[in-house]
Amino acid sequence: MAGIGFALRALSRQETLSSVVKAGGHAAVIAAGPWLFTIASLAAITETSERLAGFEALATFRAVIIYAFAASLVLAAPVTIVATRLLADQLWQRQTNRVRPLLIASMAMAIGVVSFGVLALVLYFHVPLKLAVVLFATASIVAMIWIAVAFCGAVRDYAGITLSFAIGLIIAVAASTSAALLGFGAAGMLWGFATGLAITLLGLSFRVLETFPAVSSRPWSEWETLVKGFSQYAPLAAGALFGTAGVWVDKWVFWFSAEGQSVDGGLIHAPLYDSALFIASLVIIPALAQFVVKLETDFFDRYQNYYGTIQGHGTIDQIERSRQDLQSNAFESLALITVAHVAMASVMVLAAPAIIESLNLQFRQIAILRYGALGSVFHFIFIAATSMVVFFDRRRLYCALQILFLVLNFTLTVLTIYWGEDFYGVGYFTAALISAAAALIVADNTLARLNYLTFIGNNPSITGPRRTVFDLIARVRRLWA
Amino acid sequence: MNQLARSIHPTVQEADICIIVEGCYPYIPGGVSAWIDWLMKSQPGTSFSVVALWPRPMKIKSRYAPPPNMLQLDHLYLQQFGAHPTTWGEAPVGIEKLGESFTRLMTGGGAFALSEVMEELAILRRKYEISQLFNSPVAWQLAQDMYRREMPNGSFLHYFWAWRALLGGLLSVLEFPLPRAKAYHTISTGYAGLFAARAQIESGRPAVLTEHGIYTNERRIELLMADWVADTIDKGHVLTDPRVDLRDMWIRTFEAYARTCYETMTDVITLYSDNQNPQRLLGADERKLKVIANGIDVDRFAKIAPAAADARPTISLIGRVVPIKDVKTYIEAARILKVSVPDLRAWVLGPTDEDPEYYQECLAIVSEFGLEDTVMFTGSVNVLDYLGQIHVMVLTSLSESQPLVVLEAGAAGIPFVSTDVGSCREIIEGPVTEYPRLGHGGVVTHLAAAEEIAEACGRMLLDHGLRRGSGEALRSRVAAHYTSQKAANAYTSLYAKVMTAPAAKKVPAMGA
Repeated sequence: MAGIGFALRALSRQETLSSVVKAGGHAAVIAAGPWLFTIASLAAITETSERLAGFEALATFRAVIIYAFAASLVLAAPVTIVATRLLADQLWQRQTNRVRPLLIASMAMAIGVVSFGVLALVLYFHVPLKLAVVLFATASIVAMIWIAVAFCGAVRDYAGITLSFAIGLIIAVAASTSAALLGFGAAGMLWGFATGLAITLLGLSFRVLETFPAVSSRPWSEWETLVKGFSQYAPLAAGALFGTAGVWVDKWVFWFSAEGQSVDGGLIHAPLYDSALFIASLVIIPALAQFVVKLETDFFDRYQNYYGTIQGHGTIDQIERSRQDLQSNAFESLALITVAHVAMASVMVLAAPAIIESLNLQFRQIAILRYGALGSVFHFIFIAATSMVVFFDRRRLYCALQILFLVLNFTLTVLTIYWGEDFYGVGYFTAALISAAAALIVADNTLARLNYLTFIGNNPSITGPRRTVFDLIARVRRLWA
Repeated sequence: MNQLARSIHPTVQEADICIIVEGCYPYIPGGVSAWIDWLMKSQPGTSFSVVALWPRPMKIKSRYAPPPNMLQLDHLYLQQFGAHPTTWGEAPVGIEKLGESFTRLMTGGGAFALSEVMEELAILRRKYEISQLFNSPVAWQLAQDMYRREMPNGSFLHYFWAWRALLGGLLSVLEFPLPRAKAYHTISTGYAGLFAARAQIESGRPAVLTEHGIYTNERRIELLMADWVADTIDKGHVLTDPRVDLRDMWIRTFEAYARTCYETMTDVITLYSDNQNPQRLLGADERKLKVIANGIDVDRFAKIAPAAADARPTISLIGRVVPIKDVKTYIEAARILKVSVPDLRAWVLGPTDEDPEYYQECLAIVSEFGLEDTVMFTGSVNVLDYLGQIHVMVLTSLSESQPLVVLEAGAAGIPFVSTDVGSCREIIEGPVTEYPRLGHGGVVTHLAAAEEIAEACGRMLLDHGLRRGSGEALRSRVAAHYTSQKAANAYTSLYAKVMTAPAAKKVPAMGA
């Protein structure tokens, strides 16, 4: 041959579609479950210990637990989601020997960021040392729990998660109640509760270590991977941070409003709003549980079928049929679960007075509870729809939706406080309603345009790596240099 | 699009001739690159610019110093196209028509189909950046439309990547800024030929083609051997299956491009007449067909005295050690020949590093036959230092166009034994039109026929009279027909004709 031209192969890039079967969006859902588990146990302790420890100690106890959870949830969320994604990559590449070092690095980083948060809280509220120590311990344990839960969730060890929480929280309830009984006061109850959580953490960690027995000679080898992961998955990390902040922001607004009350330790809370909303959010548990199950079974089957059709050399019509199947199944499942959720929320709305009475709450919390229950319906839709968006790797839109919810929940809650007590809870409800609608539109758009997104729009081997905030910072730095 | 190319290589001034070449000059040394270097140097009064087509930017050095009459070198990267972030946008009205035009161009080809695509792109370009469109839902719609028309039963995944490669290549060829020139000269069909066709339509200036090998044939062989193109339709042994698969699509597209090129060129040139048949088959107009054989500088070789009759009997293959040269048959022939010529020396003069695995296989055969003292691989050498010791030259290639080594041997008066490939028969035995007949300059054999080759070499080595007579016949023929001066003169008059030709009607939409 005349030596002309070049290998055609160089011209024809036969690449795979890299978004295939990777991190499950269920990670977003799973984080919500344990938190609600915890609310249930808090409610139980409230029931058992009120007469034993006294109202004031109980309020302090609850406030510290809430702060520990809020700080760890919000601050550890980016670490958790990035770690989940990296873990999925590792499992995809079958590099199980890197799992343990990743767990260590993630937990260390989670403790690090949470420590800063706790320190800020302690300094701002002048929390006494006795409580500050237990606040730090609880927040750290809980932060590590979120990481461990994510690892268990990634390998679908739901039994492990449930068992660890059940045992841990039973011990927590028993230990705090005993502490109250023995007159150790708020700090004693908190140490009791922390003990239970520590048992949960041990259980979860044990499950992870058992699943990934490969021991690494360099336990810190994944620290760098994790740090790099933040630049790689920046929109995901930001989305998780804004998402968890969005869940808490209406409470924070209330804490700093006229409704806020100081407890012994100097922390502020707003029991009028908080307790009603916490109870209302319990109604989301069955819906989320059902959703995870659907996601894991029907949806995941169709998801794999869709990519299988593409990789198995299907025609465009076959690909389109699997896409339609995926889309209709996703929305049918979502609709079915939502209907059931609406039914449960309605029961809560109707039974609100009875619930309030049985829990010894104030009657003016009835409306807040009702708005909270209705809001939870849309909050569920929001969580479900955004997790689908993450499922198909549209990380930036995921982040944008979380910001939307955060901003709406903040703004509208501020407005409701300005408008007066009749409107308490309307802010959360409206924010959830609008965000759910937006998330549904994005999820629908994603599934409707999935073929285009898979092949072109969201295909990294075509569009190249996306620019992240970190690239931007690096570029600015170069300008200065 | 191609902003890189635009900014690095601005079109500074109009050249007389713009050469368009795919995948060799000036980075890969060898036949075509050397030929282009020779062509430009042989026309010192003509200014050139070169557009080199490559899949993507490479980090290798240029192997040829630009001659003083070469004004600029532009790089057109086919794979660069579409490496852009996605932009949003819904398919504009009339996008179906663009898809149909693309399909027409890629299935049938032709100047009309090409100008139709160019016009529609020009309309789109007023509103959109074409390269951004390539990653948009518009392109997605196009891909589906074209898939449904072209291979609705095949793997969409494979179609998609092939489609991106083919259309990306097509679009980069159509979007690349056209260097101004009085005439265009492409060295192959394929993407280079398509670029020349576009240049002709867009500028109205004439374009000519010199085809060394037949591009579409080479592509067909490559595709048939390629394991990366999956057969997604099991056609069994039914040859008439109308369903189109990926290989068919690639081959059909290159044929369509070749057809487009042949139609738009004013002159379609080959190195030897046998190669005109495939050009005719793809619709090249008989009146455009022309042969301009490659020539060599005869004087450089004339001083070499033929190897002495009592020197060690030596045959030699000059070429790269690669499968297409069929070096294994050469070794086998040496083994057979050694029986009648015990002190035989069989050289292989040429680089051994291009296909190391094949080279190792050759070495293994040599040691298996115990031919270590007979068959010798020299690696890259200056052929001039060796010609004086060679009695007979051998070529065992499976495919050639017009190998210069035959001409060089002829100029040195060395007879040639060659397989019947390319223009070897024409050079060794003389064209049918030759008058007076100069006689055979050696022997033409079948392909992979070791015994036949050994027998022919044996006759040449042992019969000194026959050897000298054949060598002289070949020397006379080369001096008469294959001098570089003759080839240079042919191009000088061709260029003079096309550079002064009146401009054809310009497509008005394109300049915008």
